[in-house]
Amino acid sequence: MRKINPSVKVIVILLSALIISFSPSVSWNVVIIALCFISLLLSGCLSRKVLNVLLPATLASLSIFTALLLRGGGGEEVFESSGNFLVVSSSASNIEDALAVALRIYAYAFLGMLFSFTTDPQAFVYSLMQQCRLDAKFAYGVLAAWNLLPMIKREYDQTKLAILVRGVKLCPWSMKPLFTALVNALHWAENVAMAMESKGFDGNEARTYYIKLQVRYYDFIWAIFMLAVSMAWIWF
Amino acid sequence: MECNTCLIDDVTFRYFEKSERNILEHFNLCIKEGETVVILGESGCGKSTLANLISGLYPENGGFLINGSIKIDGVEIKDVPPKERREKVSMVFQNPDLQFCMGNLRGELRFSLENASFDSEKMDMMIDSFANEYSVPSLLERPFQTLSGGEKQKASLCCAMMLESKVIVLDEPFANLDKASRDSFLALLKEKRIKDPETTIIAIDHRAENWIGIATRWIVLGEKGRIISDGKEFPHLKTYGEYFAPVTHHSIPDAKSFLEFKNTLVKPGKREKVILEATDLSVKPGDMIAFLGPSGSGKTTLFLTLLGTKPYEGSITLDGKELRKIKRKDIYKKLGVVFQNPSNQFIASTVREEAKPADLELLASFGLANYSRYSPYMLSQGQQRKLGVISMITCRQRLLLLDEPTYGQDTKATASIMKHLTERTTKGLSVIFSTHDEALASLYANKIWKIKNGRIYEEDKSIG
Repeated sequence: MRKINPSVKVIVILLSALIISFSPSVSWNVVIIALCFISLLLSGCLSRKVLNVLLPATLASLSIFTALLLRGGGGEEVFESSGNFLVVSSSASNIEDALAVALRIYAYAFLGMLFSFTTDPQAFVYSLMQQCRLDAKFAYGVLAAWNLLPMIKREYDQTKLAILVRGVKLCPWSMKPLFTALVNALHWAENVAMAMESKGFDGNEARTYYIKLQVRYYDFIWAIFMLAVSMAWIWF
Repeated sequence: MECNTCLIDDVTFRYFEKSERNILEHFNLCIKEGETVVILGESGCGKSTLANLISGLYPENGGFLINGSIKIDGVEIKDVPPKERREKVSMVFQNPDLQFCMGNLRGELRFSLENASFDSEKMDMMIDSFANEYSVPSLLERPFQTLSGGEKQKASLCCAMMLESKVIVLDEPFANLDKASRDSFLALLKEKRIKDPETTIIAIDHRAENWIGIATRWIVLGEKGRIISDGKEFPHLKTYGEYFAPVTHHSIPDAKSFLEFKNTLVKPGKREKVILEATDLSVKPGDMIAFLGPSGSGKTTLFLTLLGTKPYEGSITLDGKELRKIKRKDIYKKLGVVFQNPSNQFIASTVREEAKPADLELLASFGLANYSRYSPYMLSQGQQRKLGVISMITCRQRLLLLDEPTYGQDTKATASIMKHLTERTTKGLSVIFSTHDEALASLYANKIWKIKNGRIYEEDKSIG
């Protein structure tokens, strides 16, 4: 999975997610989940992180499942009283449909993990630049900000502490430290931009890439396979 | 030799087009190939501005060049696009945290080479041979966030050296480094100097002694970039003592200790190793304590512990009560702190509001009266630190923690803060300040704490 081109990966996964959102089928959702699970397993990305994602997903899917089971039992009646929410639930007239919707949440979670756990953020940005013609200024800006995150976190915590020491009460939603963090961020952005510029960066296309990412045959094979599985419920 | 490398001709520069305050006024300077020039001066004399002008970052990134020209290697540097500019000049900045956009040095060097359109297949070879030449391969793969400030500055110097620019500009690269890191950085620079005698090095600093043994020319700037002295001899700059004679200490002898450590152990987590240890230390009212130790040795951690944000074992008593039993809110009534980045603590929109309930007189004594209507964020770093100190001493806290008060400040500003604080200690305020600066410590402190391998101990000042 790690070898698949990140741009291809993100497009295919988004498409798959879109397609299965129309799917009423329990078994094909299970297939998708299993497929993602195996892919994660094979690329060695199965860890505690998976549980961290699955826990909230379970909560969401259980609550939707019970909600649909309770409200969706009446069949036609529900159809008549259908509000916004019931557009989804209108098809869920029995356990199987409720299960399909609940499993869909899992399928989304797994598709998301399939992307995020097997993709190096740096490679993803590189790929967006090279395959999707993303502006280099924007791409390297994102990378720089990504690498600054630990420092931003540290400074933000210190800001909160410094304000507390001043005897000011802080609620979790206080804007004060956020404001300071924003002012700091502006300074930092300026500094980092100047440092990048002094290393010869000017955001133009004319640059070489150490990591050259290409779309290869196995990217196509994987893409077609993934999309076919996501669409299979239409034919079977 | 002709003046061919860096020629600054009649430059006038200001930050706001319509303001009348020029940062540099009719400034002229000529630097020859292969010179190592150190440009000195107090904060606000325009030396950092000058560095940014020489590297071509200004006026593109800020300010207005009203008059004059800056030529590097014969061409007007502001007209050279960044990609070609790096052949002429590259720069190491003051803040080690804000220089990199990649995760580690190898990535950063690749990024620099990519910018210059080098062949991607040769990059790793170039990087490795460069790293071996200057014996820095150990820096290449480590993530930046695990490097110390000194190592980051070395990494940044590596980037500048790798680009093989004709001129390397260093803007206060030692602003927050301990002596060992500074020496290691200088060793690398000297090696470059030997291997590459044609490279011109321009360093900006407010401490001249950092550059002994490498500088070939010293320039001292005054107001608006006026050149006070320029020559091959080591210049005389005022020391702390010459700005403000140190005050003799009257620490109140029989007073009860305000803060006491007894067999204190600080651990980041339950299962983790002890990082700080203090067996028997105390702070009495009126004490001015210098806290010395290399960067990363845990000075800030001790402050954070005192502020109640880190767990500890053993005992720390504040005003007779066990620290962990006091509510954080109540700790802060007795303890104040000014962090390295003082802008983090501002809560008001003007200097006057920020300093309340201090009167204008106090602001004036710190030289901030003229700025009372400014936003605190518009002040220079040195002024921000003064304001930070003011807002803390007016809160009537009894112990003030100062994290690296010399950071980003010149001798005069630091001396003035120290003078004010020493005056307050006679009224019972205690101060603990962390620093790398031994001269500052021996001049103003009546007690010196040192930290070695995580152990904090008090040094007998009469010996030191």
